[in-house]
Amino acid sequence: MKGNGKPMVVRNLSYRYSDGTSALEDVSFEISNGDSVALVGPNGAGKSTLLLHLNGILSKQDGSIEILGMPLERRNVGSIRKRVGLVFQDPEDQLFMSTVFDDIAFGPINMGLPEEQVRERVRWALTEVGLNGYEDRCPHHLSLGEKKKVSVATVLSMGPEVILLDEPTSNLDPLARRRMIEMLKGLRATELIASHDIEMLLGICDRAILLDNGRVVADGKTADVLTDPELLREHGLEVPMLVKLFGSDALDVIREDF
Amino acid sequence: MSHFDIDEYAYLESPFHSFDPRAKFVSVLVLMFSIVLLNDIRILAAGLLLAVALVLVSRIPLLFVIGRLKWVALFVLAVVIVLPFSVSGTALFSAGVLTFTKEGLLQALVISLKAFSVVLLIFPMLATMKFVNFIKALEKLHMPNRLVQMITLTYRYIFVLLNEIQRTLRSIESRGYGRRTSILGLKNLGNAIGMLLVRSYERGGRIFDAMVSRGYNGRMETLREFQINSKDWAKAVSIVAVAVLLHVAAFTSSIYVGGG
Ligand SMILES: Nc1ncnc2c1ncn2[C@@H]1O[C@H](COP(=O)(O)OP(=O)(O)OP(=O)(O)O)[C@@H](O)[C@H]1O
Ligand SMILES: [Mg+2]
Repeated sequence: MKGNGKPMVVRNLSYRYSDGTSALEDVSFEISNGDSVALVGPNGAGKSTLLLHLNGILSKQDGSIEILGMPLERRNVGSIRKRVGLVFQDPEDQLFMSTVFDDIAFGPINMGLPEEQVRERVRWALTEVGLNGYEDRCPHHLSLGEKKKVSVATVLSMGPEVILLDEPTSNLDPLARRRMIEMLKGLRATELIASHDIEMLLGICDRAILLDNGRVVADGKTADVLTDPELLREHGLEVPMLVKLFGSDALDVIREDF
Repeated sequence: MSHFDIDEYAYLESPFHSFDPRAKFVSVLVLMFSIVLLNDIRILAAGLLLAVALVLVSRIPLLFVIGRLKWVALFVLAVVIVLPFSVSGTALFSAGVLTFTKEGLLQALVISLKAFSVVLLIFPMLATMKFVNFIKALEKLHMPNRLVQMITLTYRYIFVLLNEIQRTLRSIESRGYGRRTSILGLKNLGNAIGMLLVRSYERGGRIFDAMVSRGYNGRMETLREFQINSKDWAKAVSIVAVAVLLHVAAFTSSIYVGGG
């Protein structure tokens, strides 16, 4: 890895959808190796749009992106995608094969791994999300929460160094959510997690980036950004009940809890 | 939503259910072609009996099979009514300008026998395996990968689409437009269909993104090779042998009877 060794460097990124909606404006940040970073902001803030850039699905219109030491350009995008996994917000988009096994195996097969390794990775990824025994199920018969878990598994199986997650805990029941949080905490990959689940983010991430209207309005320790009622309210978010009750001590409670 | 389950009878137990999907697909397909190529009415009758026997062996509930045959029957009925009058030959009787010919009747019978036999054979061939395995069989038989991808994605998203249609209809109804045939109702329906198209189009784009982000490079491949064993070979060879025998029988009878 060259440069400053940061797996993700974004500079002055702006993006406008073809209908004229300006979704990102002059976004800049860096993420260090192994960091878990929260991406928060109200609906329409540009979180999903940003994540889609970091995996080369949307191509930047303005600014620069460097992923794992490589500038995100056409010629690099293939090798970047092998190392950067993206879990989409809607699992219906993410799961396109006819069985859970085939879906989770899709990435590893495309990476050219030998069959035994593909099977091993599928098994491992299913265990990580707690869905052993679901191999032959069809995605359209799964519950929304199960679909979400399988979506995460389809990316885990590729063993990415950087993992981008769009709402990983939405639609999960409390127990499944807790398991997901534990799993995400245990991952060694660099993580960027977009979510409205502030409590989860407080539990997993050390740092938080707050987006609103396509702009970065705050970037700092989760303990500062996500427990600041004033700041959050100003941008259409709410501090979790625990923080309301216990102030900054809540952080210890949440961390211990997960 | 009606709970139509494409895999409803894929979990029964029968010699067809345990049959390797590839071997089953190919051998039954050979049998179908063999029957379609026959012209001897007696051999075709035997073929139909054979097809019925295979359906029985497959343990697919007969009521289900008969239910599906209704549509074939409708088509066959049309042929049976039209052909005897439109093919020229020995007149059996005539009604006004129309003549009912023996040749026409025979041809109608031949076509009906073929149609019923082939449709019947679809059941032991396709209904005895999960649709997923059918797709895999096609893939492992080296069907064009594009085709396999199209079937895979259709199978995956047809349910999503149906769901979306249903949701759209429900939301129109819940807003009070019902299925009334009023201008307003139609206009709303038109809008809804337009929205559905746009949404499907956009979903297609997002699915493609998801595929690409997991390394899609134009091919869609899966693991899980099927295990073909000696029993599968025995079944496949028997079915193909029967397919050949039908033609041998047709050939010999044409020699003895002198042209059938
Ligand atoms: N395909 C698109 N075409 C046009 N505009 C879009 C498109 N996708 C998103 N937008 C717009 O871009 C802006 C940012 O959307 P984005 O999906 O990134 O928000 P988000 O932060 O992920 O919101 P949410 O919390 O609801 O998921 C919004 O104003 C949205 O309406
Ligand atoms: Mg989003």
